[in-house]
Parts: sequence; structure tokens; C-alpha cells
Amino acid sequence: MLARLIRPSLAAVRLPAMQMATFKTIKREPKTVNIYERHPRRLGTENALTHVTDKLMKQFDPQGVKMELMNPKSADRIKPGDIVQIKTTDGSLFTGLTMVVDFRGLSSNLLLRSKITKIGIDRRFKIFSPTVESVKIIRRATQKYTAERLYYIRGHKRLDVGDLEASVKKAAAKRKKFLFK
Amino acid sequence: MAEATPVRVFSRGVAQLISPNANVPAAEAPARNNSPAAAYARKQLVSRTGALAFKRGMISWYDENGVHMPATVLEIDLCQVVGHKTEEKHGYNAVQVGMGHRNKALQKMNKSKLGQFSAATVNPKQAVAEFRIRGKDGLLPITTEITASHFKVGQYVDVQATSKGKGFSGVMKRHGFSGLPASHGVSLKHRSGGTTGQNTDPGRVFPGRKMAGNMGNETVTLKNQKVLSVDEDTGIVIVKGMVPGSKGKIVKLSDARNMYGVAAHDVKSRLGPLVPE
Repeated sequence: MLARLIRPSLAAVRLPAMQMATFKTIKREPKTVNIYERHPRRLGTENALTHVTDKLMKQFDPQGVKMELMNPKSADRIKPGDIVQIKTTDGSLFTGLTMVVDFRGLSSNLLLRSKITKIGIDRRFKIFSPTVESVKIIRRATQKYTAERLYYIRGHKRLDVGDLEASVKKAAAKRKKFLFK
Repeated sequence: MAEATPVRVFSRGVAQLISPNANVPAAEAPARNNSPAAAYARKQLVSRTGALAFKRGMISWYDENGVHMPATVLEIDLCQVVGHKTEEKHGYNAVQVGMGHRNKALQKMNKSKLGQFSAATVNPKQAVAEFRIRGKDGLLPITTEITASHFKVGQYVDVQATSKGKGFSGVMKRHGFSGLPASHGVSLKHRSGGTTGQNTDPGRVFPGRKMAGNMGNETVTLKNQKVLSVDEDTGIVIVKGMVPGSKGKIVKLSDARNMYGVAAHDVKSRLGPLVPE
């Protein structure tokens, strides 16, 4: 019953085809998105960190002399137990027995031990620092050390060092005397 | 119309210095401190934009006297001005800066974001940040490249980045608590924080109590970091000290906004121009 009643009213509302065509929606053209290409990276494919470290290495060690002494792969490297003399840019000398060789890039360092006026002195030198003018191996280790780091020689009756600076000077004077004779 | 006399309520039994009948002029309202203009004047802003950079890692640095110091290598790679924010339209002046390039994740980026780069005629950037500035002189034209030489050797910068995430960590790591003793009957509680409060009264834990939780992975700003080296050809900026976050992460660099926490003997040298000529 209900459906019959509604049907005629719907037929009356329906519009002719021509009239419906007036409500055409405007088609919008899709917005174009341009994807711009990047300029090349200034460093190319190079690693920024290695670029900086290489540059600084060249600046502080142009001949690669210090690297030769510190690098664990090189044959002439400084080993624990060696007696090393370091000259700094202010003109001072320090002679000491190498306790530790720490190879870690630009901050590679040596821990040297000596005795001055009977007082034990440990000094750490950052080898690639511009204040370190030269590094010289005076004497290779006279005995075999089992450890890589010789902290245990401090205060040891037999192993601890004496006044190395004085002994080096003495040895030099002796050599001179011998040569003149 | 006669002038309105100020209404004074006379309360009996209260001592008064001024007669209740006296005609006292109303005091002038003091200048307001909480207005937007006052807040803007108070804000520490610099006049020019900063830059974005990648953190590349740390090195040892020797200064001209041979003094050794830790330093961080940052790389500015294709840092460009992408957009502006102006006082009229957005309520404040800022420069939008983008850095890097999106290559693999390009398809994942939605069209509205890509459209911003398209409108600015720059490549799709890996990261975009805003640098709020004072005035409008610092609004550099869009597509202007900000190179490493934007910063000068010897100047001080503020460095902002997201710190390394440490996950859910206990109170000993997160807040530096001492933990409980190793022995004397303590069992399974050696790294505990101990008590978190009292008993029935107040019957609750006070807000702000330090407890275990997520550590790191938050924005950290380091102020007044010295610029040690600048290279425009490679885009490398070297900054003294540490920078938060891991390698390859993005860092916000801007001129130092305040110069506090400076040792007294060093004030004179530090309070020079922020950007040396």
C-alpha cells in the first residue's frame, strides 16, 4: 500500500534529461609537482671525517715521520721499554722510558717515565701536537717485557728507571772521550 | 557631566591613613609585562638565520698554542632557504631552511610536502627547520644557499640536536642514584631507587619523583660552542666540544643567543662581536 502511494510523487519530481545537463562540474587539472634534482655534494663521495683527519695529519706530520714511529704496523715503531727523547717547540728536552704507546689517530700519545732529582716523573706527550718538534729513539728496550703497558715498573726495585737524562748525557760524554782518544 | 569621584568604601573599625572623604586621584596603570609586544622585546633572538648540518664524528683538535681539545666535525650539505614566515601572516618572523636530499624515501613523501619544495624550486630536502629571527632584514631570498662560510672562525654558536636514546633505564643510570648496598642482607634490590614516599599520610607519590623511565632521545641544546674551523669548499664546520646525537644525525646550528656561564677571566675575550668581521 505504502509503496503505491509514493511512486507517483517520485515520477513528478524527476527532471527531463536536458535540464540535468546544466549541473556539470568543472574538471580541475591536477597540479604538477616538479621534483628538482640536487646539486652534487661538495665532498663528492668522500667521508667527511677521514677528509678532516687526513688534512690535519698532513699539516702536523707532512713527512709522515711521526706516523712511522707510532703506527703499530710499521717496523720502526716505538715499543714499550724504549728510551725516547722528545724535543718540544719551546726548546726543552725530555728523556724517558716508554711505558705506554697509545695509537689513536691525531691524539696518539706516549707515556714516558724518568726520574728528576730522585722524584719519579710520568709525562704524556701527544705526538701529533704541533708543540712536539721531534721524537728520537735513543735506546731500544734492553729486556723483554711481557706486558704492553708497563705501569708496574713504578717504584719497582729492579725495573724502575733512574735519572735517564743524566745517564744519557754521561754516555754521550763517554763516547766523545773515546772518539778523541 | 561632572567627573566621577573614586568610590571609597569606609569600613568602621579599620584604621585609615587617608580620610574617607578625601578626593584621591586614581593611580596610573603600570606598563604591562604580559603583552605580546613586551614578550617579543624580552625574547633572545638573533637577526640572521642559522643552518642545518650533519654530524659526522669527533676528532682531536690542536690550536695554535698546541693545546689539545675535543672537536666535532659537522657537514653542511646543500642547505637552502625553503620558505619564510612573516609577522603579518604567521605572527612571527622566521626563515625555513632545508638541508640534504631525499632520494630513496622520495615516494614515501606526500604530495603536499613535495609541493612546498616544488614551489620553492629546490630539491626535496631531508630535513627542514625554522629559525626565528628579530626583524625582517634576515629573511634571505628563497633558494639562497647557506654555506659553511655563513659562520666565522672564532664565533660562538648554539648547537641543537636529538640526543642518543637509552631506552627504559633505571634510576642509577637515569638520575645518578646510588642504589642500595651490595651486601648486609640486601637481596635483588642492588640497583633499586629505594622509597618513593611516606605512609598513609599523604598516601600518594608526589609528582615529579625521580623514577625509572625512558632516557635520552630528547632535544638537547648546547650553548656557546666555539667554531674552530670553517671550509666553504667542502661544507665542513668544526665545533669545539661534543654535539648531542649519533653520527649522521641532523644538527641545528645558529649564532649564540646568550653568553652566560662564562668564567670571569674569559669574559672580555668572549664578549666580543658574535660574528667577527
